[in-house]
Amino acid sequence: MVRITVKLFAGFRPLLPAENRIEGITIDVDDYITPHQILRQFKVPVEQAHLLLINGVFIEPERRNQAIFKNNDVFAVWPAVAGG
Amino acid sequence: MAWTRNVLRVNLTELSCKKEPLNMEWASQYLGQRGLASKYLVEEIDPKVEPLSPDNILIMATGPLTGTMASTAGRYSVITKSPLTGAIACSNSGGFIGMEFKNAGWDMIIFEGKAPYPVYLYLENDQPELLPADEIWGKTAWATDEWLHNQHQDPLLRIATIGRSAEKGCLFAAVINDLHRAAGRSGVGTVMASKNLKAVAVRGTKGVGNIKDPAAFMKAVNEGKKVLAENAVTGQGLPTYGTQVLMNVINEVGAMPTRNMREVQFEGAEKISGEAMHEPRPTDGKPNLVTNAGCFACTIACGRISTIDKGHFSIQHKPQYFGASGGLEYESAWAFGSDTGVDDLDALTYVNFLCNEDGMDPITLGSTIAAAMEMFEQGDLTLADTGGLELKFGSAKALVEIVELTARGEGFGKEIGLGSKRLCEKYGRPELSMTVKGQEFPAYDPRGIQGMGLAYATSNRGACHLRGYTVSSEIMGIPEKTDPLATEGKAELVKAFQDVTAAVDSSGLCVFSTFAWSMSDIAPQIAAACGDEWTMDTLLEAGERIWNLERKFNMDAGLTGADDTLPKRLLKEAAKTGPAAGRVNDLHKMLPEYYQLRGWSEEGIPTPETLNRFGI
Repeated sequence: MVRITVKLFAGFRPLLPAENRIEGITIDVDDYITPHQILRQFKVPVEQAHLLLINGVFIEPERRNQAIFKNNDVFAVWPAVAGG
Repeated sequence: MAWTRNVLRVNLTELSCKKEPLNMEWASQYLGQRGLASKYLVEEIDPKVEPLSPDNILIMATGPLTGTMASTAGRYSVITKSPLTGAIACSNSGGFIGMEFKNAGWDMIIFEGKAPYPVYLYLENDQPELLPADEIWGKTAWATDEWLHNQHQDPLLRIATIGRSAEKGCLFAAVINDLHRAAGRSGVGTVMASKNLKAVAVRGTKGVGNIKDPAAFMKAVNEGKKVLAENAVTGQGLPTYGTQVLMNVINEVGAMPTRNMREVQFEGAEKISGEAMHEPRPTDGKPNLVTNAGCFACTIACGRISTIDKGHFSIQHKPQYFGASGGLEYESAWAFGSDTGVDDLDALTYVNFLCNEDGMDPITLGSTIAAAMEMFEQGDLTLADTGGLELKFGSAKALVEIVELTARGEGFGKEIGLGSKRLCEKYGRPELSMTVKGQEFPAYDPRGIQGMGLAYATSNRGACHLRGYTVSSEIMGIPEKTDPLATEGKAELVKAFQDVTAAVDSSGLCVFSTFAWSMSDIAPQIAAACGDEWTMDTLLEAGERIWNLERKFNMDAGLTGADDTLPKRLLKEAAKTGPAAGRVNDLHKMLPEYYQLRGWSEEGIPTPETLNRFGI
């Protein structure tokens, strides 16, 4: 098992329980779980999840179906966003 | 085609106005707006001119697509020599006044000289009048806007004006149009004030025509709008959250400039984020964000319209601020928020209102306050210097008070109005000014986004994100993802972004369209409006030509390659947290390659061959 914190932003935010939307939700998961499996667990549409970060580092699309989480990782997810 | 082919030349010294034909040979090389007006500037002033002297000129310029039905085609720019940097200045704004200039029949207005007394330009189609501004000199931009609408009994007048800060000599004063849009950076409003020009009020009823191939234009425009609507960023993200959606993104990736760029992550980011603007306030149950808003013809509509809690200390006795007005963009939220350590969303919204009301660049203002806070913390500034103001990081009260003082040009606010470079030099701490060429950084720490270090260092108007926004690629993956911590390939990336942006900034379109549009979406719209000679290749060539023209102006003005650098803090002090922990910006690894790609000498000077290649 690994303990990770999941943070959802922008339009994905309402998919987290209200009390976890700011700080994120910390969960224990099997250590073979993948980023896409986490997304499905929170009903995040995988095809719309554009920016995936673990501890602030971008997760390339080819790694999103791999077991890459370590204990205490922070997994942050956005749809496609931009600004200026 | 698409241009009106008319230039209004206003000689303020003589109080005269003259119509002249647009130089179409230059238009064929520089397109319009930023590029074409820069060409006029370069041809008409001595690059060494004192920016606030009557010998400087100020140009308000549209692009060929401004005022057309193309999406985002509401842009205009103010071009001059900057009093903040001594470099070329070009500040771009949306809203509606660009469209109105075109409807009145003008591509650009060139202001020369200095009026013998305060005046404003009242322009109804092809009838310009210079009228006394004694009743509005000394008024805010908002009060001026109201007075002009009442004076001319025309609710459809579009107005660009300066506020009190410009009149008081604030070196980063903006030109405000349509109440809360701004040609914000580099002190273009200060130049306007130096000319005794308070405002431009324009009304156009001629329509915008001269489209070369109307059928092809409608087709290209409709296809472009479809792309914007179907794109997740321009169709959903920007309308819903505005640019403020970046607050949490940039904080998570460890590139959030915090407390005068000492740190790269802000513990209060969530409280001042785009998401927070949607949350109901505990006091009155209403969210900060009332609605989004669009500029003329824009189908993205990223603008924010916000309110402040009526019970908040900043406005509790000021009912004039109870209503909704232009809300926080990411740049103002960062500069007033993380950089000063303040996480009070209402306070930030209030000082943002003040920037609109009195015409100040929030990036430079917030960064200058942050530098002052660091000097205060370290004892370089005392209560005697600040007039008793406790300029401490994290103090919303101090932030509100100093912004009010700066808007009015009073007390220590007068010194803040100098910008951080002059302020920090005055108090013996020049290294605490987070600037390039005298202009303050935007919201991306280049230790965590390496390409932005090169983009800042080489920006022709001083530190700026809108001259080459590699954040798009390095963080968001648009058009494709690159590693923000790598330096390899960044010289080429920066150059590509700079050239594309120069072309878009010269067209009348908004650079935010490029989150969805590539040049293959933009070129057909410009070609249909202006002529088939405008292809992706010729647009990129024009962009590169514009970049080199601006660079040559700066070199002739006295800047050198040595000015293409970053503050020591970003080159020597490593980031402490986040993915970039332990990293500085490795500018030295990127700059030589950039010069080479540009066709410049090792000292950063455009070679004669390069200048010849672009007919400069």
